[in-house]
Amino acid sequence: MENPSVHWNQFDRYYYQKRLVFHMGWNEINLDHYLIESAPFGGLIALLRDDQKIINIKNIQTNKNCIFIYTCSGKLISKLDYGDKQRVKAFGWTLDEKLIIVYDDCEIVVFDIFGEKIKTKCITSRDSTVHLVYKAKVWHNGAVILTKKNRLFIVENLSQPRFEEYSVPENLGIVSDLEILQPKFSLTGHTEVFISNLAKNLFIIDNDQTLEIEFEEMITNLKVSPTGRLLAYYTETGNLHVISTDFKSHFLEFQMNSKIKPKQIAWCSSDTVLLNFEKKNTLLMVAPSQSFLKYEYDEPLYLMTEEDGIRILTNSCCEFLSKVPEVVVNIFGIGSTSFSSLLYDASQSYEKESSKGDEVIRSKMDLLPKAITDCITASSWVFQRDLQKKLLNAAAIGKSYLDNFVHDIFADMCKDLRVLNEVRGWEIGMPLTYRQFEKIGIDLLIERLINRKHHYVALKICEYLRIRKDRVLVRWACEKVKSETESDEQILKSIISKLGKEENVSFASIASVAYSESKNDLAIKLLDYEKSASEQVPLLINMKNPGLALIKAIECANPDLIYLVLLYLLNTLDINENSLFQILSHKDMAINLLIKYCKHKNKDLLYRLYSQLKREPKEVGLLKITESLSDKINLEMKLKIRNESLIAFGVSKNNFLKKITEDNIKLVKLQQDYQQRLELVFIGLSINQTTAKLLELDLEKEAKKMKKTFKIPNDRYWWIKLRALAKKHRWKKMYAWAKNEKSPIGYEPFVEICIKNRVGNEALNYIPLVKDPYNQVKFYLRLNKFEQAADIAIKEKNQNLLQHVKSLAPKNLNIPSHI
Amino acid sequence: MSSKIDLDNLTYLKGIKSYREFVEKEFLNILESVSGKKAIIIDPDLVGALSLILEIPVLKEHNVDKLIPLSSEPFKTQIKKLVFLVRPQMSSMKKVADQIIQHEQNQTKKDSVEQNFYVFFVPRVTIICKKILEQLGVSGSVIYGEFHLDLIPFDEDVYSLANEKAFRDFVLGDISSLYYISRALVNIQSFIGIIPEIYYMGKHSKILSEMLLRMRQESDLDDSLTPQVKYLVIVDRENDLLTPMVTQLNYEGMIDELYGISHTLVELDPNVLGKEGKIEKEKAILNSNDLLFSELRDLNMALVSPFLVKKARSVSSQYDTRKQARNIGDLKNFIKKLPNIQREHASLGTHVSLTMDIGAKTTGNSDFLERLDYELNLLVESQQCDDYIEDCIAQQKDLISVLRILCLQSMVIGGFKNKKFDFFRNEIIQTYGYRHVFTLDSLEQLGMLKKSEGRSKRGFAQIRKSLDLIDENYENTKHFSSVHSGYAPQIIKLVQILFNSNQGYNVFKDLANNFYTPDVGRKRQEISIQAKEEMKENTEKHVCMVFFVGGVTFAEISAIRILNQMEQTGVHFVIGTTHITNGNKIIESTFEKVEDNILQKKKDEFLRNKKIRLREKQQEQLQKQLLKKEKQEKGKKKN
Repeated sequence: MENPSVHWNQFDRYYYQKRLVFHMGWNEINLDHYLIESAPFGGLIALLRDDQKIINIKNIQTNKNCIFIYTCSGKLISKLDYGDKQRVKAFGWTLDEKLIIVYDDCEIVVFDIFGEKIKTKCITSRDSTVHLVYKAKVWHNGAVILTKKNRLFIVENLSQPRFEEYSVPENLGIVSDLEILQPKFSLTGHTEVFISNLAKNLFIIDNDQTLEIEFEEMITNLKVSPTGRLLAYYTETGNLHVISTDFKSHFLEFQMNSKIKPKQIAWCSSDTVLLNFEKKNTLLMVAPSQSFLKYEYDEPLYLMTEEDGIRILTNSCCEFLSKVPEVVVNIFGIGSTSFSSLLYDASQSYEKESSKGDEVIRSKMDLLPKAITDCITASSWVFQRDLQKKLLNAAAIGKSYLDNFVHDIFADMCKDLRVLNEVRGWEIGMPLTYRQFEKIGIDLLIERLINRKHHYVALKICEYLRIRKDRVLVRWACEKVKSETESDEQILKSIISKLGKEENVSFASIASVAYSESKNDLAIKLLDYEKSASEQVPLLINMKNPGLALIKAIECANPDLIYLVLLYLLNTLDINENSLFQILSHKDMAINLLIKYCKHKNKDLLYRLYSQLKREPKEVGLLKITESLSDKINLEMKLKIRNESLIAFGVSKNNFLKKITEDNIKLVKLQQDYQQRLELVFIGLSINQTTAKLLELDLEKEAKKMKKTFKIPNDRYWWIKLRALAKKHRWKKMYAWAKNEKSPIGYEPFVEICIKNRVGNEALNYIPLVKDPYNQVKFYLRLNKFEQAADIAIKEKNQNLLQHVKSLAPKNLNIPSHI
Repeated sequence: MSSKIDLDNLTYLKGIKSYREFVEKEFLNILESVSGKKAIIIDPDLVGALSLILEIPVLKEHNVDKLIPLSSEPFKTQIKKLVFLVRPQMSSMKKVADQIIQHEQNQTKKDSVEQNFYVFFVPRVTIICKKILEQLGVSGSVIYGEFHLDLIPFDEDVYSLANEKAFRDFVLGDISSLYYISRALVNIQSFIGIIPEIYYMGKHSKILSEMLLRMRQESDLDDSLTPQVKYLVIVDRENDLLTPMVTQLNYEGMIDELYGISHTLVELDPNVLGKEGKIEKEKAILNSNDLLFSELRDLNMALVSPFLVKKARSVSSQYDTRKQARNIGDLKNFIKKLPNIQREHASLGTHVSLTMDIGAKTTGNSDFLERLDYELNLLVESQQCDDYIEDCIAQQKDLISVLRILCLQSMVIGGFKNKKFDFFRNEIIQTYGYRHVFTLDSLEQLGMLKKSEGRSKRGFAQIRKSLDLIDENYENTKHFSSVHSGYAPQIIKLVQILFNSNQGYNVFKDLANNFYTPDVGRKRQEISIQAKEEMKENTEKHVCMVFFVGGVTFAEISAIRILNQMEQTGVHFVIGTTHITNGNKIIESTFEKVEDNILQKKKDEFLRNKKIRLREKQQEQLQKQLLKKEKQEKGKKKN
């Protein structure tokens, strides 16, 4: 076997290797005729026929409005029909390989690879003007659209797409190129847009500002590096520049001295820039040191930047160009003396059953652990299986010399490489490097496999790596349900046999596919296996089975789900109220929720519901009163409804409610009368308040009438009058009243109310009328009438009380100290 | 000012800290998810809840420009992104819709980009609220989200859902909040471990306990976590509505009765704290971050002043150590302690002023003393006070306080005789207005106000005797009956019995069945063997969370704390609740909200204006006529 280093090219201070990954499986594809976008991380390739190129007429009709989707090995996955109404202005891929298309009318659609629409978003405009796309660019989780009327729209999150508009400078002019800095790379956390124009300007636009830079020459191409830190741009006179995206540093200026515009510029990792001069059949790699490397091609090519290299796609093959990592150089480099290289050689001599290796390894035991890990790391970089084996074998041999080497990294690498070798095969055709695999993670890889319907491989990988496989199974089952050759019974049986014992399986999602395939019976049977009610209920509703849905919702007592069913029932015209009541019968929880909703929204239904449920007439009466208290109806209506409630209270023999409602109706009529006569508001006041208001207005006769009509107890009437007089400061009237009539509430309240209103002199009028001498003393003291207080104490012959008074009185007052 | 409680030195339930951090992070993530400048329009009751989770100034750092209380009132703003933070109440949806529609209309037509409206429901979005928004004309341009603010640590040992409307919902027969309580309890178990033993008492508690078990099945809770709480005792507020009617007489309870505590904050008139000349209310935080308050809060009011005097002496003697300092070392020591002493000093100032103000409102107020007297006579001897209540109504005293004593008496004596029942109800309607038919009806349904049904064996007198509720000697022994000056809160008494080694579950069950509810039971949640072992190895006391469905009072919280100190049980109690309540709040929750007061004023004004306008018109016409006449006369003269 030849040394791998023979394929390396020394470049700058490093080695680069261009590896052939696949011979393309497609036939007669000429990349020159297509617009091409490939998903990163060894992902799928989408080909859209380029309108501006002339191609063979016979293919046009059949493949009109189609995007072809191929694997990197050139295997056709699907022909995606994007419709004939709109034109595609830009397209690209999400990380889990869904195709994003931006149409000329600013609609963005995300398709799965078999042509199903997953998300659609259009700019909704209040005045329904149609925006037309001028330039658009897609990245894996968003898009930027510049319209013909120079408005700039950004979509940042395709799972919840929303348009945000950036303001565009007025001097934008004719655009030469447009590039995006993804939000995760920008300082502000918002997408930044770079636009260059023919007027030699570069605009950097984000959500709240625009920066304008003037250049000496026009920029023709812009390209941000995969880490977002660097920006490469190419100018009209053939200068390539690399600067930082914060525009603070300048790293490279490389003069081509050629006016030929490269077809594509692309980054190889973030290290070098590649220029695709198709017309000259050259691919040029330029390094920061200004050194360059030329590759010759005799066919069109397409460049796809990866995190750790670059994929080069031609009509015939797919290649991967990347820097050779240091660990690999150390092992295979010509004349390398690193210990990992020695370990590798030693392992080779082991193969040849020579003992030379043993000595070598024992010579530097302290360097062995690092050498072992280096061999393992190196195995992750190489693609050939036999070379992987050899490197791992070297690591295994080295490991056997050590007692305490952590086995895990070796075992993990073996597992990961098995998985990677599987997906790198021609059939799946995903040339994922180990570093890319680390970056996207196993979850996304599984998702891609499922999306491509490689369920079996995905399942095997899950089992092999011992990770959750429920999602693979569910998605498999969803496909299974669509089967047209098998009977429902067979499908159910084969699904249950595979998924029945698994945990966390969402049977609801399988059932929903069954339903959308109009296999209702199968769907219901599948739903029985679903553990979570919140999954069952919505689907049962969709399946127009509200009765069962309601039962399931009540079973888990989730008010939200119950409401979901109730709202469905209320909004569905083909369900009449009787069947609504039938479904509801004996379901108290649902009934209570419906009542709550009806009180808020639908009073009429509530009455019918009450009568249907044979609720107590009292409840109906109370409901009427609630209604009658609403501000939205007029007085006559209020009285009418209150009269109706009387019937209900009569039926239920609720005499108290009946009586006070009758009282209330009487009251309202009286109030109406007063209101007209006095032009003051009475309605809404209680009996007390009404009486008080009348008294305040000096309408004693009317107040008395109130007292008589509503049988106000004498005590309470006195209190009302007392407060009313005090409020109006009618002290004389109050005193006359107190003298003429005997108070049933005593005279303490009179004193209190005078003190409270700060009319102490008035208060003094009533103290002699107070019966309890203690209270008399108390009041006198509060009014600072110490002599009077003392008099009472003396009159009562209470020495202690007198003492108390004296102790509080000012010294200069002549209070006797003995009785 | 933040009312966030310090959770750094927890002995029990250490997981609460990471739980709160998680919730805080969730909120900040929500703010981050709405990029750029934004205004938050917030349910007023959530502001307090939020400040228990994070420091409000943090909002500014996350580009929150304004915090606007939710209402239908229009407001103008340049900010494009409006974030609503609301409880999923049907009644709030109207306000949300009003705001969104107003702002949409205010946009210029040229502006075609969608206005950014975000509605975050706390703690969970409900279908019905989304539906109502839709019906109110809120279009699809709104982004919905959830902020899972469930149990909030009010203090080291008090966790509340701060759902003030929970009890009101139960009154109206809507028990859907149980589902959300259950979600909250499941949620917190992923931080404090699965609670292995559950006891319940009451119909709501029973449903809740069943939900908890079911939800655990549906969620994938990690059962290998060592349980930090061993027991969960779920009780219904509705089983004991008597205790909240009794005036709370512990320090914190008293503050709540007089000034109202909301989310550990009390708002005081500035003159209470001796700050003359200010107009704005002063806010004071009441939690155990304030060490002095944590010593005071559970004390009976009678013991507060003596304690403060002692404390004052100790503070002043601490200051005096400065004078005794003999060398630089001593002085340095003193200076080290100084900030603590000063903090204590400041706190002392607050509590002395507060205690003095409370004194003036209580022991210095004959009305209050009279009321207390009647209450105690009712509790201890079932002595009725019909005349007092009648007087209160005649004097048109505050309805809530009238209903409190009326209900207390009804519950103590097992209901009023027919005639009396109708008399009081009639008095109340005549005095306070017709709409209180609903209040009375709700109170009747809750069993707080009723007609007597002859002599009942399950009356309060029996409960008092069987549960040994009255302890006249509370001042000398440390007993939790001190929170009501001798009357022990019933639920706390039952909890004590449940965990008393001599009595235990069976006695508890019998008593609860006899006097309160047929729904009493216990349930078990399985945990992993490893977790079981770890729980056994734990040398600290086992923790029991007593969860009050429908609210707990400060007096009851204090009673539980005193129970912890009584050391009769081998268990440390903490409190969970839907919200913190008191007698006033319970009574108020039975009121049907009719906003006729405001309307009344408006109508009055309208009529008055109409009258004035009429008069003006008449005068105008008169003048016109006069002018006409003059003209005519002039014309005649000319002629």
